[in-house]
Amino acid sequence: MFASLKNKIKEETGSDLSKLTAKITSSTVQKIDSLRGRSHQGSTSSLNSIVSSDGLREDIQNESEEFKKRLSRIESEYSRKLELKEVEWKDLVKQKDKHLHIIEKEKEEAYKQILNLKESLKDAEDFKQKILNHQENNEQIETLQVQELSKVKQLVLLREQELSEKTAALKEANNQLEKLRSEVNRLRRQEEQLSDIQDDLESLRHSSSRDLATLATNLAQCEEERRHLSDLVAVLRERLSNETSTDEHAVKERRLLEQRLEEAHLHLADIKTSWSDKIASLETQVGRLSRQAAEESAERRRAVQDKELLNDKIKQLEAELECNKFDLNNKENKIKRLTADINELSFELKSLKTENEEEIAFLRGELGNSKTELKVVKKNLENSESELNKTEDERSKLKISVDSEHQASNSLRQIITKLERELAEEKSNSLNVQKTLTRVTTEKNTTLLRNAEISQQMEMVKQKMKRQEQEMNELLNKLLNLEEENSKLKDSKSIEKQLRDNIVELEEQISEKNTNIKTLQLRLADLKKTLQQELRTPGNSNYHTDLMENTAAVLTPSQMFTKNFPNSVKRDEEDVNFKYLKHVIIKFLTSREYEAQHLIKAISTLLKFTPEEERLIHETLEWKKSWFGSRPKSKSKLFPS
Amino acid sequence: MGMLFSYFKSLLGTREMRILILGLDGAGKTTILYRLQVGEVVTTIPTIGFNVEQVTYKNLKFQVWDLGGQTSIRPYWRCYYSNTDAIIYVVDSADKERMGISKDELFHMLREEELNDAILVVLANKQDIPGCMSLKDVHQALGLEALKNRTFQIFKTSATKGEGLDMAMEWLANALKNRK
Repeated sequence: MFASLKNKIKEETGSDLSKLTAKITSSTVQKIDSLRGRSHQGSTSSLNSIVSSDGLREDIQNESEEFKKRLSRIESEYSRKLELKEVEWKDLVKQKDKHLHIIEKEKEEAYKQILNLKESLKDAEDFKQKILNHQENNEQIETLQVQELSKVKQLVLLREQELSEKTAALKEANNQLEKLRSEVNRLRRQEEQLSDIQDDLESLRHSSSRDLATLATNLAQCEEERRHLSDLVAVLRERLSNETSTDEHAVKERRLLEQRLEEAHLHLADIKTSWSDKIASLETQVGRLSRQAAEESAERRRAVQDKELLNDKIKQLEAELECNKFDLNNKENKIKRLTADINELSFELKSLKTENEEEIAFLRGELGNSKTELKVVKKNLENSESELNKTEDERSKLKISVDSEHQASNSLRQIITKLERELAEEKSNSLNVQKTLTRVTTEKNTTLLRNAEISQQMEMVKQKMKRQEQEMNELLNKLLNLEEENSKLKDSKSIEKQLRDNIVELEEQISEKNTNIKTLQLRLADLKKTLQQELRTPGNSNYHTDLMENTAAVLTPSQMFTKNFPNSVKRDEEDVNFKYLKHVIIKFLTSREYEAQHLIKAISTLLKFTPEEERLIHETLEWKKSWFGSRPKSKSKLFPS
Repeated sequence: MGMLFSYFKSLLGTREMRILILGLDGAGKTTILYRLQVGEVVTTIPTIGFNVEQVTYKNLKFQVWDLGGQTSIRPYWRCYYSNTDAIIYVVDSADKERMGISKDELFHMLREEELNDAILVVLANKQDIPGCMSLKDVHQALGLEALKNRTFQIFKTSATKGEGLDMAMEWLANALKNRK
């Protein structure tokens, strides 16, 4: 039993040496001690070891009990370890699950990546197809352009050939034209000759006709002469017949006359012959000339005909030339247009070529890029596939482990479910607690609000306190000031007392002085009275005192002063005063009312009016100014009437 | 309506400004008065009494009183002080000896309660005479720097040549307008 236990322990310890070495050592030592049975060192659990040394049986019993206890202890330890293990396992399972989840997620991501890459591949293939289409289109366009160009070139060549033919024909026609022109020139010279000859002929004809006419007239004259002579002969013969017998003389005469006649006949015959000869020669000449003329006219006709023909030909040729020129121009224009078209087409072709080339280059670049991308994608795909395979392998491995762990975990799950139930209960409890908490928090908030209010009130109260303190300080300051003032007041009171004493003294002095003044006033009244008496009696001017200067000296006539005033300076002054008064009064009397009002004061000062008199003048002026009211009257007669 | 009312008010309210021309005898008060009124230099005799003329300057009507400045009649100036808007105090800039008397008379006059609101214009006259005191000297001699709480200005003038009077009157007119 112990051996099996030991083995078990050893197995257990050997399997998990790192963690349980300390425990094992302690336990083995205990075991060895217990086996010897003479250990006096009682372990914490075996307190009865000392007692059990009395008997073997008891020892054995005790040992068995000890072992049982140890067994139970070990069992408990192992159960604890098992629990720990279970916990570790759970952790491991959880970790594995997490790992599995992560791997699955990675797998999904890899699938997604693969899908994306496949899509990109498809896109790239589409691009490729597009590029191919573009290339085909470009090729078609190029072939079409080439065909069109060849057509246009052929057309141009044909046109050029036609042009060359036309130009050759034109040259020939021009040559013909030149030949004809030279002929025409020659014929013109001949024509001139012909015209000269005709002119000669005409002149000859004319001269011959004239000669003929003269000859005819001569002939007629001769015939007339002959007739006359014949008549004469006849007459003479009759006369002869009548006088033959009688007159031989007459016969002689007749004979003479006959002789003469015969001579004349002979002469006439000679002349006739000469004339006929001449006529014959002339006729021959004329015939020759006429023949010449006929020949020349024939020639001329021929020449004219030729000329006309040539003219016609020239016209035809000119028309042809014009037509040719027109055609030429048209063709040149056409050629120009065609060349322009060709240029445009070539330019378009070039641009299209460049565009196509650019597009091709661009598409090729894109193709390359897509190819590289494709390659990259493929690589990625391969990598991801290999990764996938790896992960799948891992997954399978993990699945195996997971399955094993699932089995373990299922049992644990049951526990978990239990715990979950407990958790639910706990949650419900916690909900209740939370509710209570919320209630408590609301209460807390309310209390906080109250607290804040209270604190505000506190602050207000504090502020009030401060203000009151300030007021207190101010009041204290005032109090101090008042105290100072009070002290000052006390001082001033003492001063006041002194001053009052002084006042009393001064009042006494004043009363004394008042009495003096009264006496002086009395004296003054006396003096005034005496003065008035003096004035009423003008003879007496001896009592001119200093008082006269202050009184209204102007009131008295100035003659008095001239006589009696001793001081010349004073007199001048009086004079000035008098002048001034005069001026002011004149102004007062002549001035407007507004100005006069201002002058009242001046006059009243000059004439030393009493306030009542002054007021009277004022009122009088006011009365004058206003339209209503009654004339003011002096209350007491002040002026001496 | 308000316009009309204000117009009537302005008609009724246009009071003549009362101005006194004061100064020692021979300072040129009467010359200045007539220079202002008719714009000409008139021959004057010493004024025993006063001259009063209406002068209109820039739509403002002034009733200008020129009071004689002889020693014996100087005490009567105070009879004219009431309702005075402005005082033109004329000083003979060439009369250096009597400058002190002029100053005394000026300050004696300014102490009067009736003239508390009056604007003061000091004219340093006879600036055309060679060797006369400059504006600064006159200002110093009269002790004008001691004047406080009074609208015043000093001008140098020559009544015979008519120089500086326009400037002084313009200032006075503006000052009177602003005071309203």
